[in-house]
Amino acid sequence: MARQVSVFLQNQPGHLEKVTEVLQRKLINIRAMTLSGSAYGWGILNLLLNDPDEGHKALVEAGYSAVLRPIIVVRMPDRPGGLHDLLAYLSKGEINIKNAYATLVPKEGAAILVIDAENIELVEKLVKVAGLTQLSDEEIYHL
Amino acid sequence: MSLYWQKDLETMPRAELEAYQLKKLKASMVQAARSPFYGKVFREKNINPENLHSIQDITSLPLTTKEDLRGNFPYGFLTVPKNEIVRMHCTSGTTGNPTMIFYNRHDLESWSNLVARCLFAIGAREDDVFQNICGYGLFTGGLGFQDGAEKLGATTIPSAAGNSVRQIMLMRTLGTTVIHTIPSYLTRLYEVFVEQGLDPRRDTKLRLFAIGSEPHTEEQRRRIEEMFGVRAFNSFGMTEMNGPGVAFECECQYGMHVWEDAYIAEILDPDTLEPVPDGEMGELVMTTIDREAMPIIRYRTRDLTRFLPGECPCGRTHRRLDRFAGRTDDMFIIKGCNVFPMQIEKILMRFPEVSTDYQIVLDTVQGVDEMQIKVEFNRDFFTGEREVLETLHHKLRSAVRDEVLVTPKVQIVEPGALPRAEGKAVRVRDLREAKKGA
Repeated sequence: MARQVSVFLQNQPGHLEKVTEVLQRKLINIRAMTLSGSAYGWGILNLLLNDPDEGHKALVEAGYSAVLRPIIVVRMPDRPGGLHDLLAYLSKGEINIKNAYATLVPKEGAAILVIDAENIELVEKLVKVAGLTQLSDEEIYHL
Repeated sequence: MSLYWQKDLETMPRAELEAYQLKKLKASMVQAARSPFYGKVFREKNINPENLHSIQDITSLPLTTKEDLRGNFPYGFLTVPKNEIVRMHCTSGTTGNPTMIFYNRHDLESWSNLVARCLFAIGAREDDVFQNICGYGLFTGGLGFQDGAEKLGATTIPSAAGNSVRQIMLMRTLGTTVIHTIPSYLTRLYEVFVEQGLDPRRDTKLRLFAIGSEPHTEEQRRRIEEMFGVRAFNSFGMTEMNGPGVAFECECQYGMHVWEDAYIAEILDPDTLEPVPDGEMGELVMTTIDREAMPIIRYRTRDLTRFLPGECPCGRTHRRLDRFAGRTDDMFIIKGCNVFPMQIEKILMRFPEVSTDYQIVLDTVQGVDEMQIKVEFNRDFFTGEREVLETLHHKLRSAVRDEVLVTPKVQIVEPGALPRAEGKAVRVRDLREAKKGA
């Protein structure tokens, strides 16, 4: 199962930079990321890395609250309505998405959606039913 | 094996102990009258030790305040010629004159004996290795515990404050069994153990902690004990009363026996200055009755505590002081509510999701005073889900509001984000505009 690294961060100048510095030192590449703040002075950073285990280890060693969370990454056709088609299937399955982010993969002419949801196994089935493909771990980490 | 360092004194029946105190108090007053300060006060108020008929009559004597000590700096309380003094210590004196305390040979002997008695009471013996992790120098915790542990006969390591890596090296090399330090340092030390891949339960011989000089809650003590697998005993002392060794927990860990053969402790209502019944909270007032160079009579400590009613199963007859609820002067007022930092700490300790370090910041934001509470998030509870953090945020906020009636601005910060104190942890920072002008 693919994993992302989630990091607890204070919402303050320089804090994100410290994270990227840790990753850079370990030569870890960021494939995609999202940063969401809260009204309370902190936020959560989600990172799709080429080596999630090493990245997680490096961040924990540097003192961060960081965890590995299971995700699923789905390939979508890069055209209007591509995301909508996928979501139509997921909502039929009553999937509640906790967090999601998308990025383009120009060399494939496709877009990908990273999904963090409670019932990952069900999501995998629904993706298949929708006629879409899921990226393998290998593909994700070498986007 | 004896349970007591000085059985006769420690288990003296109350009536006998009070008679002993009265005799010692009268002698102390005669000695005190030789100082410029008490000489004048006693003359003016016509105070004569012969008018005291029971220990309860101590309430007829005038109180001594911190201002009196500062105002008569440095020698106004001295009763002996200067060449008889062998040691001095003083308080940090961040505002105005520091308070200087002078000791002659008798005083040092008496003091170190009390500290040895405390260490014996928690179970330390001469075959222990005692590491004293606190500031040496003017601060009484360094030399005070050094002398006491030496008197006990333990191997004493004067490792002083700071340099956690070296502290751990000393502890492991020499097989330290007993540590004296401040509680907030132990949580810091534990982090360093973990960073080095060590487990204090497995990699040290530690068995006893004496902790003090810094207010802390029962919950914080339990957490420390849990981390290290070591029993931690509460210690109370103050420079004005020699330093450490004034009151100490015994093996029962329920209240600190105040050594009533050397001090008279009273608990007064801070407003009326009348004694409160045992079990009720009030201000601790202390009198030295075994000090020659600088006796102090009825000193207002500003510490809030109470006598624990009833007898202690350990057999000591000296009364027990409860954990300190705060100081009459560290209370702050915000939005009209009186708040003691200890109240906040108690609440935070109920939440395992936050670490033992915290900071209260009082500030004026757009003309309105606010109380900000910064707590470190315990990384074991991080799941990557914001709901968990948001729920914690709301729970902390309402728990504090329910207790102190002020809604705080809670700030959950990254682990290690709060400054680590090598000395007393600074828990409250007051940046309010009203304060800036003052």
